[in-house]
Amino acid sequence: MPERFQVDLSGIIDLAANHMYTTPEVFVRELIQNAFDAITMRRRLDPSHEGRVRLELTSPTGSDDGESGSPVLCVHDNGIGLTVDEVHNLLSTVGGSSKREDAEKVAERIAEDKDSLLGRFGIGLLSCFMVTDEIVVVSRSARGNGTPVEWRGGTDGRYSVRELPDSTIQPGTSVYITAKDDESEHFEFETLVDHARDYAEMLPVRITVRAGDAETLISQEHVPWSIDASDEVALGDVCQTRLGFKPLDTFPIQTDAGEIKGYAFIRPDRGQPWFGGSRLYSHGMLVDQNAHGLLPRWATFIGCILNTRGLRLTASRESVHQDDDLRAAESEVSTAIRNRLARLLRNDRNRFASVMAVHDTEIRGLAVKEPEFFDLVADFLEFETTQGSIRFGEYRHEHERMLVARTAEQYRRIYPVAKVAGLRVFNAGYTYHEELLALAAQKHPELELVAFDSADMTETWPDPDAPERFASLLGVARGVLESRGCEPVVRRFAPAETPAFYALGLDAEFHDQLDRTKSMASQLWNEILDSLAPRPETLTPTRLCFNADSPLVRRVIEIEDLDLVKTAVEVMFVQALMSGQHPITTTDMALLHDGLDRLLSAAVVGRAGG
Amino acid sequence: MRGEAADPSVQVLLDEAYQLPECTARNTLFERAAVLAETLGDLDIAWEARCSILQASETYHDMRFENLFLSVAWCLALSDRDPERFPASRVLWQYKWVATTAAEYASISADVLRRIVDDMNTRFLGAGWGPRAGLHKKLQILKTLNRHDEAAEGLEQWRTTGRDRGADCNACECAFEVELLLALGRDEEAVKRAAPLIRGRLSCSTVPQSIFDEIAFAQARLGKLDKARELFDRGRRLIAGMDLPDSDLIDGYLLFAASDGQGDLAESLLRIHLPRVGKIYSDEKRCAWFANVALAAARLDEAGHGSIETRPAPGVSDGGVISTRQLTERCQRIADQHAEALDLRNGNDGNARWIRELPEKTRLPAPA
Repeated sequence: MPERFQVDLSGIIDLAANHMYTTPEVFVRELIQNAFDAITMRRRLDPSHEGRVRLELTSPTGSDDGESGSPVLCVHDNGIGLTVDEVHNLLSTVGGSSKREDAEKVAERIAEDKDSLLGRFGIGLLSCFMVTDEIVVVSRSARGNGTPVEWRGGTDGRYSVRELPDSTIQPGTSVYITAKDDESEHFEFETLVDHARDYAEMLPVRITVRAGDAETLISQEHVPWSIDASDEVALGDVCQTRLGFKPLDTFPIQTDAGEIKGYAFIRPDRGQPWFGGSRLYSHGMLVDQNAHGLLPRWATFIGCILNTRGLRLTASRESVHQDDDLRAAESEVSTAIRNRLARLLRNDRNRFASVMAVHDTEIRGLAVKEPEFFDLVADFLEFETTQGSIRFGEYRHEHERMLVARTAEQYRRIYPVAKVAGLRVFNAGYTYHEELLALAAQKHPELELVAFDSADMTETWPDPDAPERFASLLGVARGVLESRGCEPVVRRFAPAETPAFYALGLDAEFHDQLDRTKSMASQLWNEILDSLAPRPETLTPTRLCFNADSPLVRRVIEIEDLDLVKTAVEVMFVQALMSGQHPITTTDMALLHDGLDRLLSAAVVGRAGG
Repeated sequence: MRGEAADPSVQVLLDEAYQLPECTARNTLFERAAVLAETLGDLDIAWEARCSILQASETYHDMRFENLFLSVAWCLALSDRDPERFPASRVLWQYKWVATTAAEYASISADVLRRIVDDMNTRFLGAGWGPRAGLHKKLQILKTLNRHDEAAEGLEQWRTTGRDRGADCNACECAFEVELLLALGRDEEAVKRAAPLIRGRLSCSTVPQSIFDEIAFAQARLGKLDKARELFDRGRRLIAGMDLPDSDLIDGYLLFAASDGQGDLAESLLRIHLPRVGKIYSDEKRCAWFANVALAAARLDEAGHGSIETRPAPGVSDGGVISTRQLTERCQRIADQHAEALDLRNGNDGNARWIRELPEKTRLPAPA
């Protein structure tokens, strides 16, 4: 005979009350939500019914010593109310809900009734046990001549129900909760107003919070998603108030999947808030302050205020289900953002430029990901070059070749000499720049993209007029540089103040790393690396390029003391490494120090001798 | 936990890299930091930088593979020298990727592949991670070498070996088993095994979109065209929704669309993904990609799509309008070249045969 699972009731209540929600203040939302649902159900009986929800705080005098007792919150609604039977069936059955139906019925009703109920699970009331030990519900059903009824429930799972003789009680429900000793902070007027506003200000029902004589209206007259898209001022204010920033741009979002409506806002800064960057409402009730799963990951520059009527909520109602509807909605939101950027690019260049000025990386990332967006934006993209920044569109119209330093490091090495030589080399070292330049070249095959490194730079320089004058220098330099796999050459280049330039090709740099790794690695890994990256027959030679136009080099070639020439070569070598921001080893530093020491000594001796 | 680099310039590079989104520049910074730190003798920081490159490779798939292999080799060599200071466990997960990827290149011999699996298995066992990953990798490589019967023989041993720390996720393991069964021609069994993937019970960042195209064709071969179409639709939507859609996943879906009379969709997929072929690196992936696209283009041609307009695609089109017949020829030539190289390495004609049989295996009933 089949057995039934045993349920530990107080354990279940503890689970639902204390472990399902991320924060205790959600009890405010759950109470308002139940009240709102009750009003929605009453409107089905009487569509003209004007619903009201009132949250009222009282602090009764408690102890004999005159200190006030724990504050009490009453949430009153003039909704459908409950009969005695309903109180037994619904309030006293964990997981029982007047609002839950089978999935098919829910789907049908959502389709036909846009004011569908928010609650589903029959556990929301239990969230009150995070802040109270007892819940008291007084209710009177609006259906027929309902008798007022009182229900009292505790955290131990026990409850009592009694009918009330008071016939003056109006249809509706009042929920009373008394703050636990250490939870009274949630029962302070300002805190309550903040929470109620956060969660429920967009609900289409009048909600007030009252304490003594003070009363605050929570409900907003106009919800953000009903504001006209042309009213930029109102939308800007909404964004400022709810998301905390003045947007660079605002645009509507509307999706079929999840029936989402609302606005997206482009942030004016790059700081992405870790929390509260967006707000997702469901039928007007706040669900998620990050719109998790709805905004694509790349859209870090977007904040949004959206309301869904179709996405399914999790049991805690603090997020939406990660299901096909959410993914489809995300896809529609992505498209809306891309379309907006494309529209700005076509019709409002100034605004697009102001967006790009702040969110350059994100926009470039999007261009890398989306070929169609790239096509739109490519000509507008700006790149750093050795001759100043330039837009791709501006460049491609006038050139057939694009020299590109693939890494920021190669660019820095080339920059001083290329700039003076009037050579334009693009810096692909920034985020997404290499990917974008490759895409640009692919889109415009008439424009040749040429990887350009410091070794290529030396190929652009002419030989000296009288090369034989440098033979002795080169002879000494060969001896110094041989052990470093570096070949000395002489060229003419600007600026003349630079005596020597160290040129290292990217391929040589890679194979240098590879060789070092292979020298450490096992035989197996040597074979793998050899198979995947075989050493080419010739690698770009690594060179120390002496500058024939340099006054210093011209003086060095006049020196007859070859030891002194050797020292000068060593110093110029390390100096060239340093100028190019190449890694400097302790051996290099020792070489520099020794060389400087010898040169200084020679100078002192020379002066003393002279 | 990463420490602070002794040299401030290395630290600047690392800090900058950690702040960047996934992109080439980020990995270049890590590489630069690794080289600089190594030159300065700061091996701990060089190790961190190399491990960061490998970690990034899990989610950023657009890296230069030779740099990745270099980093793995460097880390393993350093770990062999001083395993306490540089624990191999930091890079073992990536070793699995290395083994799979190495097998996709015809330049890596079958003997080296066998030794890679042995080496990987030894390291996994040494780290206390268990034998399951080694067995899995062995089957994967046998499948890549088109030694399907041997792979089938090892399948039971792998199935009955308990899951351990080194094992792939359940979704990936299930997807591999389905792939292997499909390669063995056991369609019905494959579809049955794929049930948790189809029902959405098992998924990860790469599965099920990496396998739904193949299962869709299997369903079609079993006469369940509606189910095939449903899987096709779900899979291609998953790929379209990815932050960085992998073009090397789309070829099967493209072929399905072209084979199922969805010519406009196939054209649109071609237009999006053809220009990205330069990012498909290995011989195996290129062989499969170009063979599928060649056949898709041929079917588009048969269906009256005489030409398509595309952005430039390396090796295939300089951009503009290209006839589907030309596209078929060019893609087929590339696929055949890679198949030949792989078959030479494998010592059989598995890839050439796969290409020959592709039209028959992917033929769908004519649309009503």
